Amino acid sequence: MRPRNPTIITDHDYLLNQTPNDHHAQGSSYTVIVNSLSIAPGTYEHRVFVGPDFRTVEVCLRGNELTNMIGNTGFWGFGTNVQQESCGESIRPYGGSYYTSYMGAYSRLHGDSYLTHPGVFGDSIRLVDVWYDSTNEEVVHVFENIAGVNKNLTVYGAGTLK
Amino acid sequence: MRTQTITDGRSHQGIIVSPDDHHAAPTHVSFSNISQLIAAGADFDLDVSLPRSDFQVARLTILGPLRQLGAPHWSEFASIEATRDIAQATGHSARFEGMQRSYVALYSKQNGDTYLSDKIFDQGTSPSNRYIALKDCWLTRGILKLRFHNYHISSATLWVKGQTILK
Repeated sequence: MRPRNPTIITDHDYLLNQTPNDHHAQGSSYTVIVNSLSIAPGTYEHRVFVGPDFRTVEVCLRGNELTNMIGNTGFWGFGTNVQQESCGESIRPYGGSYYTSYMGAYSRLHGDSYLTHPGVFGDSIRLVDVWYDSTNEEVVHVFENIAGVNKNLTVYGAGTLK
Repeated sequence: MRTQTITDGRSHQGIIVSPDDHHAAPTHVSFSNISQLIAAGADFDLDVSLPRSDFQVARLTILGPLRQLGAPHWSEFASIEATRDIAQATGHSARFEGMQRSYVALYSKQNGDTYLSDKIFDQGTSPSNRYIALKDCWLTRGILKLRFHNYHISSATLWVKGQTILK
């Protein structure tokens, strides 16, 4: 039965017999698998269909060739439903020499043009952006090959959405 | 049709509600403070104004002074997840100056940690001798509170910028 008077709704009140699941946006997740995909110089958009109504995405990516480096590489970051608002961290732990380990954080809102370190000597693939494309209902991972020649992208991971 | 009053000030007609009708939609806010002098042993609260007051969780990426002062590949940063409870924040901080000077650590207020980051936000001192740490972070109504602490015996200058996703 509908209430006769206006109802005050708080974070913990629910209309009629609804449960939290009836009117709360539900989180979701998705997986990322890219195996030895040849990328020409320039940007490449890796898209994953996830459905409607999300506003944030948080993703963890890893892969030896994310930045085309020796050793393990990884990225953790989050974006919104607006392009170029993402931020995050990139990590490349490797004990071989001074220049092969790296940790860093990036914020596109503060002017960083990418989200991961470009790699040693710049001959690598880096992550530029992560965002939720509400028109196509897809999460977009934007990679950039700055090597000048084709490079293979291999990256695995998962993301969560709200 | 009836009008229903909801907590964030919006209203909608009818009884059918969608997920976005009365819940805070996630959004983001950027912030910076790069010249705040903090006295020895003192706290400084950096208040970040939020577009609404009903967020439950803030996830921050904050960047430290090596972004400005260090070599191009040097980096100092921390990532924090905070709630409305000052005692519930968790996070990790890192400082990378090459293989010979690297640091990363994790923090949990629930488990009794005094700080949420290493002392990595001091603009004026050398990379090995920094004194300002992020001590606390929490949400109040309409404000994201970042509490920095200078635990050196002399004053130090805060350098920090970052962004947060609010849910």
